[in-house]
Amino acid sequence: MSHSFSAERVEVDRGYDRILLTAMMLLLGVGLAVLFSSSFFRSELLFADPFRFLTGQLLWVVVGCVVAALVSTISLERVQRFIPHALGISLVLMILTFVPGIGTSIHGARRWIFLFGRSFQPSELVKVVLVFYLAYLLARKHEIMDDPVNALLPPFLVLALFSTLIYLQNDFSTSVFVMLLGLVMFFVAGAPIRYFLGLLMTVGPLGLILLLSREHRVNRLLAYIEPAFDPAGSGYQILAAERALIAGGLWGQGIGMGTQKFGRLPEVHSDFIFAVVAEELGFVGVLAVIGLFAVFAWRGFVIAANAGDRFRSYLAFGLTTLILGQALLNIAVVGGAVPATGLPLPFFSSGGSAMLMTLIACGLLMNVSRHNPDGAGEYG
Amino acid sequence: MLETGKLHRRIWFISLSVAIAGVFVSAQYARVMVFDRGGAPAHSTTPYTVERGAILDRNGRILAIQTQLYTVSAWIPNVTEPQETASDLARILDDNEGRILDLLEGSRDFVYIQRRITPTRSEEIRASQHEGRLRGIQLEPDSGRTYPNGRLGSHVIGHVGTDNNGLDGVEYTYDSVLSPSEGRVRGETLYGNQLVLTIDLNIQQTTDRLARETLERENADSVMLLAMDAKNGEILSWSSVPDYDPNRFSDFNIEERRNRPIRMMYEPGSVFKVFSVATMLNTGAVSDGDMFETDGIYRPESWRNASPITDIANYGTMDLRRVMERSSNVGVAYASEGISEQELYRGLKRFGFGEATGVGLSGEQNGILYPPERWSYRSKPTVAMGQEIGVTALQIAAAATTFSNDGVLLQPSIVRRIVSPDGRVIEESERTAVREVLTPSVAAQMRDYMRTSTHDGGTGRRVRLNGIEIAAKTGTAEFFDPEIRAYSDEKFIGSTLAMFPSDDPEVIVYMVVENPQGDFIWGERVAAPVVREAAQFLIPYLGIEREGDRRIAAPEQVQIQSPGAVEIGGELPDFRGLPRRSILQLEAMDEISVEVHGSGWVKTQIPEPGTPIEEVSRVILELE
Repeated sequence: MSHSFSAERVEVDRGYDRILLTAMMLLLGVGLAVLFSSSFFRSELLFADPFRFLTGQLLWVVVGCVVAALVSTISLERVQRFIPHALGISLVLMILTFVPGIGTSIHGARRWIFLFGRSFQPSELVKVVLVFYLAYLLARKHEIMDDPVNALLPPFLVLALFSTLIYLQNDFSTSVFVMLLGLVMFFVAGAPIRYFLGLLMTVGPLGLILLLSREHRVNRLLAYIEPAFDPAGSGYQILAAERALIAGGLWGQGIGMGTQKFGRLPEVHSDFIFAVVAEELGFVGVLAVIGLFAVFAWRGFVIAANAGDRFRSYLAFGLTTLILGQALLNIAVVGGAVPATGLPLPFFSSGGSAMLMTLIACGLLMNVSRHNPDGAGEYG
Repeated sequence: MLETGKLHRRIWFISLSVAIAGVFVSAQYARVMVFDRGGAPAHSTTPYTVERGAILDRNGRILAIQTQLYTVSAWIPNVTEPQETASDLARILDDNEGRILDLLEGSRDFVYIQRRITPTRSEEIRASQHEGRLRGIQLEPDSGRTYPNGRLGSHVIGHVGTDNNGLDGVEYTYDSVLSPSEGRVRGETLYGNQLVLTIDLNIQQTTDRLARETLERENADSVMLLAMDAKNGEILSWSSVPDYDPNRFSDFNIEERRNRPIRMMYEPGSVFKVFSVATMLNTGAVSDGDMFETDGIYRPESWRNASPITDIANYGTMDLRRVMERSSNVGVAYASEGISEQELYRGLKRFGFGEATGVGLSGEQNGILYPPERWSYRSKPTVAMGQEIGVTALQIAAAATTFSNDGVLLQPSIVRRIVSPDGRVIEESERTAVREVLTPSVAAQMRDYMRTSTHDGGTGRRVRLNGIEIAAKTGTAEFFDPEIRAYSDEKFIGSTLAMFPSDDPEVIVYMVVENPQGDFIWGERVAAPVVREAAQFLIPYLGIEREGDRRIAAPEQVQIQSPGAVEIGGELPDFRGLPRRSILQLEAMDEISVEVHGSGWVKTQIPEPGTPIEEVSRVILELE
């Protein structure tokens, strides 16, 4: 039995995972509806055009769907060859955000690059590319998992490099999220538990120092512990989100009927969009959306478990975790269960880069679900 | 297969973790949205919208109204050009650029720039944003309360806090009427009831002006001036300075916000004699014709060395009317010998002293009227002349309704009517009689004493106006200093109570000047002339009949041009050709007496115009 990928493997096209596809379509549809509902007021206010945010987002959705359809059919083996290039391009783009004239700093956060008249957030690309890279490398090093220096250290250094670059963009939460996502992939790939414990003891304190090194993070943390501490500042969004939740109740105000979005909840169309879901669709709607994400998780993990080879398995797992992790954290933040972070809600939050990468991730998942080498024992 | 098993185990471990986290988050949502909705943050916010009802004056002019203003805030991550944004905002909001820049740079997420800006300014911000400026700046609707007349009537109206709940005045006492909590329906705007006050904004404006002028002229600590409908107890104006602007109440200190007419307790002094002497008349302790031999000093033998009650002069033998006209302390002290302590106490209690009037404003003081058990041997005559007791200005004005209602005490009222949002009258205030205090004849007798007090030789002469009889009583009291629990030698309270016309009063005016530090301390000097000015406004305004007015309004006369005010400088001006209306106010002059003969326009004037004013003591004007 060969332990490398076999070229003569017989692939069976099982067709797309219809349940997953349906869940994604529903999430996309509900997401756009809520985005419109949450942004038309602000859009009208700023641009005298209630559809401004929506049309912007729709453009990305269309582009994203086309790209997703493409990646769902390509040969993943072929793509593997380009992983080093993709990683290199990501690195260059990340560094470009620090280059004056190309990188755009929005009040202290250097997250965007401005190319061809459109802003792009490379960290979104990094998330997907890193998952791809880790899946590829960890699958290849599977045999030597017990040799940490050769198997674990190189991918960990790459992970740490990107995480650091994202941190330097002043995006602490994404940086930590990417690091955790990578570590979860290490875990699934079979890295020995003792390394995680060792890492926890060394990196934990470091993370805490980095967390507390910026005033706004400390404020956010304080706001989480006691929102009323500074109701006009950091606690404001949390309190406003809570008001939206309370206003929503069990059945919600009805779509388009919520009032918190009328300027009361800053950035409602991006990081706090789930508050609009809560206010307008009620707890029932909240459960429905969480349910859609749960279906997404279920199918994603099943695809990962049943994928034809380790690379596909890790990839499917990583992509599912990427989308699910962000969704879970974002929803938890809006619900006041964890401190505020800057993570978007996939399918819902406005933001072209995030939407594009979410759809690409979906396309890749579809790809894995479709192409499943026949027979067991191909793990290798 | 063993290897795959490990992969599967780890995937399922992660799946399970995610599932547990998902259930935890869902439970959090269930807690906030379904089970624990009455939490504190929900309380101060707007799942329901309530539009607080307006407050109007008796003529329907708006005193307080709900507004939808905008609050400017910034979402810092979107503010791309802090410097430019700060300078734009400073220009539009008329604010300090440095302050705004500090706000923008001192925060990382959300910050308020200015609350409740004017609609014009919101428009300017929107216009700027259409031009692509002011990125990251947002306008949030913020429902607020506006008091278009500012300080006018502020103590009665009160104010609301930032979350629109009443904090003082009728805004506080009628909070549940203005902003009902019953019947709220989610998603619908609930409208509160309107409150129509008894206050008349025109009168309020005049008394406010007079009170403020007096405050400055007399360099006083505070001035109160109340006007009340003598027939039904409705308060027409409620001036109390220092005052405050409820639009920005937090800029004012507690002294300015203090609603003195119900919260300041003081010794009323001689004004109180009308109530004590009326009580004596009512009990038969004294009667109209009683004579009193006075020598300027009252000290019964039993008092031994206690300080005596004195008059400022020896008035000799007087009847009761004269005692009142002169406001003789000694006379009242003698008069009090005929009444028992219990009778005096009960009589004063029936006037409402020692208990709040229940006008419907918060923080009303009861005043102090000790029962006779706590009186000293000196208390009876002392209380009779308005000392050793504590009153509020509203208590005095309310007690005076007894004289204008045949001896029946009325409850003062501040709210005339409550109107539902659809215009239905929910509640209409009615004349509320509290109790019968005096017989009608005693009430009439006291009014008559007060009337002649405004004649020559009476302490109230500075209230007098030609053509109408005014009943008045003045008073001056030493201020009882609660800190040292003794009378202050330097601090006085001068006051004047008046009602007119004296035979059937329609209005009660009461003025109190706290600690006047001008030329005089006496109520007859600091308050009486101002009460006369108020009367000069009120009489024509309320359509009270006054002799002489009719001529001017007679149809055969030429059209009345708005008569210019006559100003007197260093020399006597030329009054010839002026209409009677214009010269009526000359009567308000303290130094010169003016005699007016005939009606029409001034034909001759003695002395001649141009005479230095120092040489003039009397002016005779013949009209034709």
